[in-house]
Amino acid sequence: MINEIISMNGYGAYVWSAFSFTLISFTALYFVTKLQLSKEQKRFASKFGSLNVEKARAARSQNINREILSNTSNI
Amino acid sequence: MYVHVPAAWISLGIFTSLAFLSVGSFVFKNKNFALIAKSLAPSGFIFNIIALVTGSIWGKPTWGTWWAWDARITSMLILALFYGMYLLAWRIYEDKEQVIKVTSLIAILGVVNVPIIKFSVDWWNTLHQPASINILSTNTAIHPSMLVPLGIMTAAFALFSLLIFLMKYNTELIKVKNKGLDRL
Repeated sequence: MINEIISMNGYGAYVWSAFSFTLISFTALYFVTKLQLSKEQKRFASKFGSLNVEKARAARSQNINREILSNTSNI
Repeated sequence: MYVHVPAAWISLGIFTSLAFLSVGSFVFKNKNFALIAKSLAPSGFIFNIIALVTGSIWGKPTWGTWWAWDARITSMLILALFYGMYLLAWRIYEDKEQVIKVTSLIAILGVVNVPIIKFSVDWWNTLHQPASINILSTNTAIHPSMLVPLGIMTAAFALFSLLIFLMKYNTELIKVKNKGLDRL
């Protein structure tokens, strides 16, 4: 049964290599995108940390900035 | 078939969206259209490469060759080149206005290739088989037992590209906010 699934009437090498290539591409794309996102979130947090009290208050008044900061704490 | 066909459909769909968004960005002068297009492009490119590679893998047992300069395959390769140029342009140009113009131009020029890909199997005598599914009619060459898994795989691929798009779009928005913090 398992051998039949693997061999697929002699076409197994083609079918499984196509599935493997797709899986590897998806995994690579996901992790590269995730890495870029985390990098930008960290950059935002470090820039935010270097602001003085007045500028930080002005930046914090924007909802989007608060959202990014709340996501950054989970990294 | 369950990988190659949905990957090809989605890569074509994404490129068409890039062209519409580029026209939108030209007409409405809204930079958000360009950001959305930029976030869609990487998954479209990966799906295009998957369609080419899996097609090539399946070409060996069915046609006896990994590659043929057939109208459908060559036009898909041209689409991959347009995707490549589009993504490279975002990396090369630093001026925001210029990069939006160049990428929009690439997307609008490249979309001419989309109907060529679609109808290449009807217009020319190709190794690639003609379309098996026609959404405008109930006449389909595929047995229903194969249509269901094909539909499921297409939905799964579409969801994956949506996930990548949302992550990428979030990254682009944070980049904009980072520039905003610099200006404070």
